[in-house]
Amino acid sequence: MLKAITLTDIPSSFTWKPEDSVDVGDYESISFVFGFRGEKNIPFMFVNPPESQMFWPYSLGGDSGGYHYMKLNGFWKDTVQFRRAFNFHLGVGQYQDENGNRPTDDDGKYFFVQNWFTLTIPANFKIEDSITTEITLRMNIEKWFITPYVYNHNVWGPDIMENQKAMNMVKENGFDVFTISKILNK
Amino acid sequence: MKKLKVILILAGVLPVLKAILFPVFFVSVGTTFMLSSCCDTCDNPPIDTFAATPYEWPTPAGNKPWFPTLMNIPSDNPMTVEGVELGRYLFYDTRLSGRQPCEMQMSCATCHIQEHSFEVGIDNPRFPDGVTRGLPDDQYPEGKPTPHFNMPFINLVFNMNGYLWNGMIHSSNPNLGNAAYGVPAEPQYHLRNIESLVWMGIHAQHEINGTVDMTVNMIKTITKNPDYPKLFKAAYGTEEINYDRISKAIAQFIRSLISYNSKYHKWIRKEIPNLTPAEYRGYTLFMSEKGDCFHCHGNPVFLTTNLFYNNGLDTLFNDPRDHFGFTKNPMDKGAYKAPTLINCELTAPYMRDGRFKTLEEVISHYSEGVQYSAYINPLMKWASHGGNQLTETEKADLLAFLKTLTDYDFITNPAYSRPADLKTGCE
Repeated sequence: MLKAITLTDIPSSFTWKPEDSVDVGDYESISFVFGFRGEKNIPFMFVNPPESQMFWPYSLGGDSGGYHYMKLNGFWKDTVQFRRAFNFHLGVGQYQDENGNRPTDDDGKYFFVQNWFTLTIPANFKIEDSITTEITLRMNIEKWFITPYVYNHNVWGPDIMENQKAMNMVKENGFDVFTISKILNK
Repeated sequence: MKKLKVILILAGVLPVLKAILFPVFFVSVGTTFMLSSCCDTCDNPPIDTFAATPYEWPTPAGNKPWFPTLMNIPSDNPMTVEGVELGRYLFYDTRLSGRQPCEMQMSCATCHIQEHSFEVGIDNPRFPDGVTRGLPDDQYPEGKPTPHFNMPFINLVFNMNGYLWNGMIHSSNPNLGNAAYGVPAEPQYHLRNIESLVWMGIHAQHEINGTVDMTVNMIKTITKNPDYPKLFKAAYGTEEINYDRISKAIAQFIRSLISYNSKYHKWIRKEIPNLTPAEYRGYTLFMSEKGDCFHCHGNPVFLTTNLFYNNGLDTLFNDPRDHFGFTKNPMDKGAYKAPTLINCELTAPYMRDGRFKTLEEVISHYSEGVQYSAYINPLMKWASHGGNQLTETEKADLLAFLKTLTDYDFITNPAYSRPADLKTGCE
């Protein structure tokens, strides 16, 4: 298993070469965590840009919510075809009770919701000694907004960092966003 | 050796959404790794600094690594105690203009004043309303106005994204010199780092309005208060004075200007227990999606991303000095650097053209004054409503928080002040 956290900051494509060695053998899939496991999402752990610019405010994420999982910014056309900006940001959510209140523990700290998830993508490939295996991982952007839930900006508005219902929907839509489009052995 | 390379591509046409996307996300597979580099430009061999003392950076208290390890220091200009000190004298020495008459003297410190976080200040007696002007000439007897207002000299060593409002002073800039300024296309007149600001400042008609030759020839004549040959010897191992060493020393001093001791900084480091209720409400608003100051003025230590945004000031964009003027990316029209908010209480007027005289005016702009255009940055998500529509109480709370960003240690630090023994004859 590779042990690395990598930020993908992309106009259109990004190449990542893991520093750890990979065991020789036949593989059936690739798994990765999208975002951070809570115990690894430590505030202030990144000091250099661009990672440090992904910080998630402490008031919104607490001790296990140091950084955004994703920032996807753009524009949509609303019901009157006016071009409006959206910030589709995913990270740790704030727990609210059924009345929309944020309860606290005995120390006065808020509760938070972890929205990271593990993806497993079927892929048959072989890792061989002295050969570079190039795997192209594709993020199909539109899938964040389509399956299994149709995400409607006109309903959820321009931002979701403080809307756990919306972020939970985004998380559930995330499971089919990534595909393996190409595997090459060089 | 077994090798694995992962290429990530984006794909998909969005039937409803327009494709102006700036996707940034984390893919986490396990343990953290860090990027680090210690030099930005490595073109020139390092100066022989055998006699100089390596500079030690200040370290805030606390158990967190507060400062980046990535610092914008070119390999041909390492930081030394003696280099910084020489740079401090030159920064404040108004004979940097290369001329003796007092009315024709000007230095960096003429426009970059410590008590205003090294900006000009709205109460500057020489520059009313903070409108800086160059030294006079026949064409501009009152001095040519500077096209943009100052930016603060604060924590610049941690900025890897380009200097000036448009970011054109950047490691990627291949240009040399400036024909309009009469500066030849020679390697020492690059546009890659803080050193570049020195020749630009000396030559620009709207700044010192001189020449590097005049500056060098003047500095060479000064052997008392200070003894420049002695200072150059301590910094560089030689008494020889030239432009390259002048610019590098000033750049070292500017890089040494570090601010991290505002009330806010002490609070996040847990050196003080609380902010006031209004300050805390303002902080929460700053770090919320409603106030949403943090996406552009984020990085909780430096209060800036050092990136560039069109923040809805205008609907027409014809300033050749915007970020588009450097990148030629049409989406950068009307985009300027988001400056640090540290010491913002002291750095009026605001924006690159100084249009706002008070922080209250700035807050009101983001609340109800944002102007929508095709080039507005998507982080200005309330632009379609004119802004984030803050209540008067929210505005007051936000103002209270912004005032906690004032670092009184920085603006009074004698290490950053005018040397007491500097005598130009115009005190």
